[in-house]
Amino acid sequence: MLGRPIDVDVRRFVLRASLFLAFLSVANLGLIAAAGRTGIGRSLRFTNLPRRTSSWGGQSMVAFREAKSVSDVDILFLGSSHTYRAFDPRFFDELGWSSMNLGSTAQSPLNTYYMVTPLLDRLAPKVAVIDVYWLVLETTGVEGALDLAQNLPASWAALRMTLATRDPRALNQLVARFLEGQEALERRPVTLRPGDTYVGRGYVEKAADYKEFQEYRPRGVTISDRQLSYLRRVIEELRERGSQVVLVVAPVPQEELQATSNYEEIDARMESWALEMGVAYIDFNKILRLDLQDHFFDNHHLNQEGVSRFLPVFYEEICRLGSWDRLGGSCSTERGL
Amino acid sequence: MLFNSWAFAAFLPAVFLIYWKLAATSLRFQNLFLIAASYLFYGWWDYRFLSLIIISSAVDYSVGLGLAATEGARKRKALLLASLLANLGLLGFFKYFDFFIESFAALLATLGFQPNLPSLRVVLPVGISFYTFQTLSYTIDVYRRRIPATRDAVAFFAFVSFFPQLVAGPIERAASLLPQFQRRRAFDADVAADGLRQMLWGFFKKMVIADNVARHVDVIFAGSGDYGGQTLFFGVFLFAFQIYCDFSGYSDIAIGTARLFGFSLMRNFAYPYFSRNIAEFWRRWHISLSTWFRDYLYIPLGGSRLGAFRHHVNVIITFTISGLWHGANWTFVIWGLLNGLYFIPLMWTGRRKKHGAEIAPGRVLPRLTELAAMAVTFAATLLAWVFFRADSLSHAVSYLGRMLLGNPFAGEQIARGVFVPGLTFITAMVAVEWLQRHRQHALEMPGVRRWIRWSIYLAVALSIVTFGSFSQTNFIYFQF
Repeated sequence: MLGRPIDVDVRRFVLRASLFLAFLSVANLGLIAAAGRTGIGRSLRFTNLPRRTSSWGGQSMVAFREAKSVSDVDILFLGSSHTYRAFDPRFFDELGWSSMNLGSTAQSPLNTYYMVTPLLDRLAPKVAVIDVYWLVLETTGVEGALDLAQNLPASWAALRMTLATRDPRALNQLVARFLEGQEALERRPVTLRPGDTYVGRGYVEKAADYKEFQEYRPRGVTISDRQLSYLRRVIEELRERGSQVVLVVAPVPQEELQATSNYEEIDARMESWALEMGVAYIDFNKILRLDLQDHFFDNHHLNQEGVSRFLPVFYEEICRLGSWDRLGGSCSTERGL
Repeated sequence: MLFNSWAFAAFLPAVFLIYWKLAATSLRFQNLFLIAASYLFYGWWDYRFLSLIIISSAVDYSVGLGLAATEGARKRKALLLASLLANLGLLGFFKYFDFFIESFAALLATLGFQPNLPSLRVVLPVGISFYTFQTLSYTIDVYRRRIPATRDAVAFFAFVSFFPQLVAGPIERAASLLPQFQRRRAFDADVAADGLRQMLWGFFKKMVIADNVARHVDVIFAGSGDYGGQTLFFGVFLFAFQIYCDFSGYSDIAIGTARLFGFSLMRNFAYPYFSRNIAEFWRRWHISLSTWFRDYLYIPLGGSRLGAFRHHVNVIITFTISGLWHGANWTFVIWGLLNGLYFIPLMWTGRRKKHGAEIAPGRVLPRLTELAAMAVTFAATLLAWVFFRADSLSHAVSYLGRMLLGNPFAGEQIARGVFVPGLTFITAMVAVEWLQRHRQHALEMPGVRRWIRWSIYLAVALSIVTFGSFSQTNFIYFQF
């Protein structure tokens, strides 16, 4: 029955509809290219248009570029801006351990899965530390995808990531990046935020005197099951390569904890999830209390002073897990505190 | 499956092509395919609730056959009662069980009792209010001998489950839709192309306006206790357009989709915010439901035939029950009641049917008196929408109190700049609909040169791609 030819009128209709879609696609590409060049999308609210490509080459552009020449690292750090603003490679250099920080803006497990796991064969980390800040686990991954699509060379992995976000903004940003060309990306200057210094291997140091606090607004957080399923996939990829995985939550101010109405519930959920997965989970907010004004530069990011207080505690806690053993390190409390 | 989902973007072309490929085979086979496609469409949410559609279809098909085979009045009534009990029983249990239990418990509590009544937290199956009303219309019309009972089970099951209008209408009458399943459909490219245009406009209203302003509406209604009157006014103003664009957008997509398959569905919206009084508003808003209640509730109650007092009572009853149909919450009951009360002055002054079908015929702009009448009608609907959108009666009352009685500039305000994009889209939509108010839908442009038409379609499609929300938000009326 399905072998019969379809009606000629239906075929013509489908052809006309396809022609319209082709026109629409070409016009949309033109708009995306124009927005990528002019930045008009950013000045219009509600828009799915991409941000201006040429003026935005941040930490992730440099970090992933550096990662190309890195292999067999001792420690790999993954996650959002909390990661690239907390794990200073100089601290681990002193211990004689190599490290790479591939955290990026709002990098959620979905983003990590598509953009970082393809690099794991080469990076082959002995220990992988993933920051699981709850606000990132709540996202669809679009913000992280915008940053990575914009700052990394267009690739199939990037296409898969943008499609996985199910948000046209991510795909449009990738298309704008593709239309910009590879040479433009290589020529693009590094633009960091005020007060930032790019230290190397993905880490960004924030000047201790830089502040941009905002009023805290109470809110509840819902962890996305989809992000947890991507986190599971990331962990499995790491384990397949023999990496030991540790989930952490870098410190945030007490004010942030108080503003998160269901913080205890989220923490308990993550703890039991990690237990089920058989990975360690350490929420440093339960171990270390830092001061908003002295140790943070905004509502939830550490400044360099905060980092220097946090890392020794981090070292000690990971020591207790025995993770450093595989790096040939000794767990001396003198080193840590 | 949502119309605004990637799944539907794949589903529709596939079903369209297979359906028209089957056109050369038997009609029965084509209808069977439509049933399968419709069940897949519905089962995408929760396949377990497909059983309710099958039960409802089977009951009404059997009752129809029973009515056709019976002449005795008592037996016919019993059959009708069986259909009413089955359909309203399903609706009552899944939609209203918890509401009635909780309301009863609250009543007992006010009398000093401490009842411990069971609340089942029943999950509401999507579209149950729509398809039960559609099948009921069939049984009632067969009972009234207005239409013959069908013996074609495949056509009947396809009529009940037809996917474009299964979950949120238009609520079709068997007399109009069922015969379309019983005759061979021929593909008409012009009708199908116009269906696509209507869908395009529906997607624009849903994705560009409704889903974008929803973010502001949600924030304002959730924090209404903190905001000043000015922001609260914006909240309900935006909600008026959110619900219009959401539901009329859905209806446009449903009607347009049906036209792709050679079916003609009834009109559900006719530019209601251009109405000059509330009676006209209800002739233009959710037409398939309004006419359902008119034909199966208001007229059987006696309509306007039993004197002025009964007429008033019938109007109030019809609107109140129509409110309850929308949802199991007292806010909907009050919303319906309020709309019924709006009718009373029109009945006193005999202006209920004052306005004809055309608005400002032959003129580009309305007269000042027409404009004023539209503004007053719109303001009346705004007040009622507060009850429709609020979480509870106390929420609605406090919202209205702060909006109307408080200092409009006191309290927290959302910067007006935030509303600019939404208001811009709304203004564009209202302007287009005003210019096209005598057409069935806003993108119907016969006689306009092809390149101009294509430019307009392209502009609308581009604005969806550029400004539309792709978060695949549910349609508001799915919850009803």
